[in-house]
Amino acid sequence: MILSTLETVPNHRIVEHYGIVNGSTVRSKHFGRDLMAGIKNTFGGELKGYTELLNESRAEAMSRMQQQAQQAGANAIINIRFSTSSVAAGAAEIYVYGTAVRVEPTA
Amino acid sequence: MEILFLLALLVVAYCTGSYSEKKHLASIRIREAQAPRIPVLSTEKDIPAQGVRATRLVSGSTVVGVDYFRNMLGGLINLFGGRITIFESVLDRARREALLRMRQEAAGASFIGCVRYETTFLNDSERGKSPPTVAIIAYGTAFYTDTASADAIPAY
Repeated sequence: MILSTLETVPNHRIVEHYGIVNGSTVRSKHFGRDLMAGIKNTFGGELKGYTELLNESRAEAMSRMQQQAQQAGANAIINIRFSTSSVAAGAAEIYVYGTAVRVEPTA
Repeated sequence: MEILFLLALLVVAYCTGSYSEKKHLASIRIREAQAPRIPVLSTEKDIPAQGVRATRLVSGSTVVGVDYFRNMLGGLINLFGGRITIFESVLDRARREALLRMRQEAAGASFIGCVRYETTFLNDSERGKSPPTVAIIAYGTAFYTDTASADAIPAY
């Protein structure tokens, strides 16, 4: 599946639109790691545990979006945007959305 | 006794905070110099498509916290208004780190187009009580014109 933040796929033309597809996850670190991040937070610097969490959640949200697109019969998602918000302390929502389309290579 | 403990914590936070900030900045500078030289564009229109063999969504993210001392100092400056360089530095480091990771993920690409940043504060709900923690995602579309690196792209 072609994923792009642009409105088009280079050297391809859009033959069909399937509408918006999206994926979202709300995740929180388990207690032990949250505690460690809390301690680390007192002293500043990168919170690796949270970065890892962010990466995992993003991957999950993206795979959900791709599943939706696949079910619709699309082979590309264009104009992808990420959106994040914090739901509770240490828990964040990652929301990713885009437009599912079918593209064909232009000769 | 409690005040002493708080003071001790502030001093320790200040020392480790400045140390980790300096270390982080130095490491960012080194890695920025070493990272693949890929032009990063924020535009989405009029991107040259000739010779493009493949495209791929690339992204980089990071979570950075402000230390206790700086947070208090920032709060103090906030009372009087003006530039709060303490928070500027944290956001700057976080964005640069995220962009750097995105560039590293795009190794082999000719350029990255339509780059967007997404920012969120993780402990928004308890603002004021604990130091801000900022999470940044930088993402964009990598364009591969070179056949070898286009073939080497991991599939989604």
